[in-house]
Amino acid sequence: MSWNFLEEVLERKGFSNTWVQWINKSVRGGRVCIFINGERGEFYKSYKGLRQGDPLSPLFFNLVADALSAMLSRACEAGIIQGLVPHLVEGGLSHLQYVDDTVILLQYSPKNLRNVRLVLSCYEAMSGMKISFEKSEIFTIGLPQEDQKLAAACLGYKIGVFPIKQLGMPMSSLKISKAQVSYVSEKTEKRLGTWQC
Amino acid sequence: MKSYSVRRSAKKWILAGDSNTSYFHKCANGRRRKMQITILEIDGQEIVDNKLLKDHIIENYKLLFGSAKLADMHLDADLWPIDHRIQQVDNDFLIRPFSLGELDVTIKEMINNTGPGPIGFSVEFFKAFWPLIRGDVKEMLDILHAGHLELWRLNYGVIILMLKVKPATTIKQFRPICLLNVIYKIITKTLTLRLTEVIDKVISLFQTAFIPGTNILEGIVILQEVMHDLRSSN
Repeated sequence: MSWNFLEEVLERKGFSNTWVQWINKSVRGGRVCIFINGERGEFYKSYKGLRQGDPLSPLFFNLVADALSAMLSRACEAGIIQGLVPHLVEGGLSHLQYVDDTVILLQYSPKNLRNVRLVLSCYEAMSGMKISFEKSEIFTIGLPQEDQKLAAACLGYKIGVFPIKQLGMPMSSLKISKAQVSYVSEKTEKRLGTWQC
Repeated sequence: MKSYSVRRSAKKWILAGDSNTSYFHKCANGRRRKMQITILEIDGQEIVDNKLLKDHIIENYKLLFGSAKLADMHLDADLWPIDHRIQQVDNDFLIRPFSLGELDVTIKEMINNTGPGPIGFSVEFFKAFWPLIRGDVKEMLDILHAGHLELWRLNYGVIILMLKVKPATTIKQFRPICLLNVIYKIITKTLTLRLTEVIDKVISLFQTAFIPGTNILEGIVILQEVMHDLRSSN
């Protein structure tokens, strides 16, 4: 993540100069070394990225991710993209985020897909963060196969198969079978198994 | 206080019996073996040489934390409407003077049995000697408040590599965790606790992580509801 972008987000969010300066002191000017096979390497300065281990990092991630959220919401308001279930959520629901996990919800149209692709690449260019193509998938509900293929090709993502595994939970537009959900209880049991004392 | 070997083996859930020392030693040695990186795939080739492995890993992270090349593109000055921005009263709250009581809360929130930073003082150390040192820590924060603290002198950490998947074959399958100095973390934790109080006012409802008053399940429920609605309307 680019530090300049984080600073820009803090400013746009209305944080005071003093606070931004404090944050800059913690984010910028840090040094790290890497511990491999029992030995420490040399310390060197870092120039971007957040350190997993700093208590502030998760909240910074929230703030920076909120920029993507705001960009998508603005695109939605401007009618450049159409979200889903507009009869339930005013203006349509265009996205859900959990840390670095983003679900984008779109009405199918080639225009919508192109515009979302544009928003995403602008966000990548500004934030210095990359969308992981290997981990991204496209899911369609009630769409003919050729449109599904077009959608996947437009974004360059794989076509996913329901159920979606979102935060470890299986989700599907169809009914979820007992077999599809069984791993959740198996996993939970395995976790609880070590709780002996 | 736990004995050295129990700590080293990091088995929190077994009661330390007198005869257990050799057991804990074995755990610790096994853990060290597991943490050892002996082979990695680099550009399709398997590398086993220790020196080459190290160079590759260090290069990789230097690149990851190295300089950022960015397009000359910026967020709209009013991307967030006024009511989605930090208000004056929240800004006043964030940059108010630090108090001893506030630092007492910070130290209580610090999690025990975590890796100490390169200086080596653990969270437990700070907790045990807190009544003696809290005045000094507050003085540091007062200096930060006045704008003179040279935080960079404490701002350094050791990155350790944790496996994301077993067995890991490429460097991408490791999670770099940064062990920072506890005294540095006391400062940023204090700032974090302040920020936590106000952040929910400026984060959109579509995000459900780390924000007080939101739940991890909310996103899941919403997504399921949307899919259900689409299915029934189609």
